Amino acid sequence: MQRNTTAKQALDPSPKKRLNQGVPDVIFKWILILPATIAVIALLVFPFLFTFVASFTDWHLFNLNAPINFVGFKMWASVLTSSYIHTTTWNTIYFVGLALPLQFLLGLTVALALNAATFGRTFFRVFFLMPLMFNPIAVVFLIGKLMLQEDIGPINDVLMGLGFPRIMWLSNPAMAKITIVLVDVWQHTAFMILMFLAGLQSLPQEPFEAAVVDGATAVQRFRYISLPLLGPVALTAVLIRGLDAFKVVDIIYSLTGGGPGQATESITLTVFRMGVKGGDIAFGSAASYLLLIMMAVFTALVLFLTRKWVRISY
Amino acid sequence: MSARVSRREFLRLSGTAFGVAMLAACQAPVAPAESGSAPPSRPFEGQTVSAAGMPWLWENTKPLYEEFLEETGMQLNVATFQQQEITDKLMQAVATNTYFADLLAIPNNAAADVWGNDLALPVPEYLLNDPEMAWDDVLPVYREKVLAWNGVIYGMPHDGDTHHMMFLHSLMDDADNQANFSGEYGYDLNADRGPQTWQEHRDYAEFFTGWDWSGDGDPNYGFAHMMKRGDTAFWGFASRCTAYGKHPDDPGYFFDVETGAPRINSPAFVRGLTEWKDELQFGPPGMISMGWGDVIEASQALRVAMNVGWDGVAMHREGSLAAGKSSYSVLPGSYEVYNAGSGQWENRSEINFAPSLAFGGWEISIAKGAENEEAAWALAKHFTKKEMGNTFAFQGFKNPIRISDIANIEPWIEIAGFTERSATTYLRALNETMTHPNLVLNLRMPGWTQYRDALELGVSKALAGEASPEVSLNEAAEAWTAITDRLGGPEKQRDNYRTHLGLD
Repeated sequence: MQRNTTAKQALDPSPKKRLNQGVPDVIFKWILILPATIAVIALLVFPFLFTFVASFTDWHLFNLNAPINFVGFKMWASVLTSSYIHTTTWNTIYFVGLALPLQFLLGLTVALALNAATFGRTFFRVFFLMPLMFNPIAVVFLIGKLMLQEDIGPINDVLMGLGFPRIMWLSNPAMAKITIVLVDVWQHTAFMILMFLAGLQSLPQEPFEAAVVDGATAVQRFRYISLPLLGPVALTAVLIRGLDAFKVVDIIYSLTGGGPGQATESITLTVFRMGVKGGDIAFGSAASYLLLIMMAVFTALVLFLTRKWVRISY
Repeated sequence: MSARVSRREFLRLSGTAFGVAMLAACQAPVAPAESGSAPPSRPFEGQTVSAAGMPWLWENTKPLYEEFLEETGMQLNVATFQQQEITDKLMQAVATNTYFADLLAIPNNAAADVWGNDLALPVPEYLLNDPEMAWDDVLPVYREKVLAWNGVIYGMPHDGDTHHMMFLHSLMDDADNQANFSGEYGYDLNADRGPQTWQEHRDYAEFFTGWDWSGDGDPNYGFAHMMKRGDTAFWGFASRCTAYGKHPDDPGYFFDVETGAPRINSPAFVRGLTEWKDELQFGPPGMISMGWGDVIEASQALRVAMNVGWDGVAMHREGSLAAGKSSYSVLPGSYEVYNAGSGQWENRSEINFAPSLAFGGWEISIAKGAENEEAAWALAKHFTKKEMGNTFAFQGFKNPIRISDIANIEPWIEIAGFTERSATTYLRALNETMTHPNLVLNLRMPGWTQYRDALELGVSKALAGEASPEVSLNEAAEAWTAITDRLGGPEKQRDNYRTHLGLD
């Protein structure tokens, strides 16, 4: 009796039973993705929706035994009109606006240097990536508590020895903002270096060889070949680091606690203070959605502004 | 029309998100074996007590409870958390009615949330009558107020915290300092008790700032106080204002006991903050970023002449340059005190002292729904009975809470390493603080973390120059009013405040 076999079955020396015997393919594929779907719903979709719903209530964890009321947009209005939130929003934008360009420029510069280095490249790669391996709390202790101590810290000691005035790294509101940025730059520039170095090493060599033949200078090769070709890498790096920077909390919490005053408090720290520590779930939820909107706007803005540049590079 | 869902129902519906495990029905406490019957050799064999608390409570004190565990057969499962973290975890567990641990070491501030909501067990009668616990030896303010809520004792007498002033008597003894100070300010340095009013404190601080009195080659400073937001600024500021804001005839300090309105923007608090800001010039650079740990370090290193804080033992730890040079006193007072009732300042012939029971201590409680309730109480007793409590105190693992902790200076000299003079003044300061009729209790209110954050923000803004003391405290008071409204309104919080003070 002749059997009809597919080409694949004919080539398979030991055909196995199909797992979905008797189960239609259309159902079987849903069974396979069900565990992942449940995980995503439980860990992502549910909290997302739960927080959204909570932001329309007056739910306060510590007001035990009181009913939860749906209050419409009241909490959203509280968040949007709160001078406290205005300040922390501005602090967050200030932080991202200063830290991200600095990390971009420093990261690109160091990556170019490492890419061109002929001696000690491995050592310096590890050396420059080390800050990324540190726990942020350890960074805060090393830099914030020890190095930047305002009275007897070594950095102020050296600066004053050189005739500079004492710098109030953490106690002056304007300076504390910059200090937070500097600590973050110290730790996270390594991420930019990593991304740009990977990008530089994957660039095709032919355009550079052709440019050399045509007499292009090193600056011209960077400006007209390296930079455009690095576009997709730069976009990815800016998006990842930027979104991460919007959520900054660990360095601030342990270095300044958001102070002095409210000078360094980020919106994530506010959400943590209000929602997690303070138990004001409704206000914290609404504030966290404000952060989400800010990040969505940032992402859209970056994609819009870089669309032309990145497309050319392809 | 608003849809209404009860909090409990809402929590149950969202149980998977928060991992809520509802507490089992309350079990009646199991009394220990009656007298006459032979106790089992290892009565808690096979039972595990879970305990939550600060690392120091469990790790450093192991030698003090390992033998107990061996003798009783009890297994101890400890979850340690840092100070900020344990408060957060505890409060989330409280709010979601989630099992956290059998034995809790809770910050006193959380008492209203935990005890007030009936989420811990009252201390059983057999322990209240246990001679080994010696409840009569517990200082009355703790036994009657701090360890109790609404007249019921929930906390075992473990840790007693107070704020007192430390000053270097070695500086006050110095004849040159005496002469120079008298010449400049017109009165003598008080080497026994230090400055007695905040005005004197300012003079002392000014005098000891800007010159090298420690001999280390660098200029030193008058004082250091805890001012860092998110650290201990709440207690530092509260203690700075008590002399102005706690009127002897008015039990209220943080709130009005009749209306529930916050008082933190009253002229008393504004004056305290204004002076604090002005006195920054007499502290180490960056003092507004100093928490309690930084204050200890500055004091141990003889960078400052005075501080306000919790711990005399730290000054006598190995490596401390302040060992043998430090004396202690109650917080400075004031000849002027603000009367919130009349809205006027009063000039008094006697100094108005208002010591502060800042933080109030770590209280050992047993959670409702504890899996091994009897074993948990036995462990709590082991930690807090008179004999062991004294040992914990003298070895520096907790602050005194018993009369016997502060009655005898010998252990403080022999075990804790104090000199006789330091020990004498330390115990005197503790005794005078904890028995003072105008004592300000540590704030225990539902939602206290939000009150704390709001006040610390206001204080920090003023200290950093972002707003005037008056404006920043008005903002803080507005925030307190908003928090009160979110937590049930002024009447409800007024009732809680009155309960906290033991008025009702």
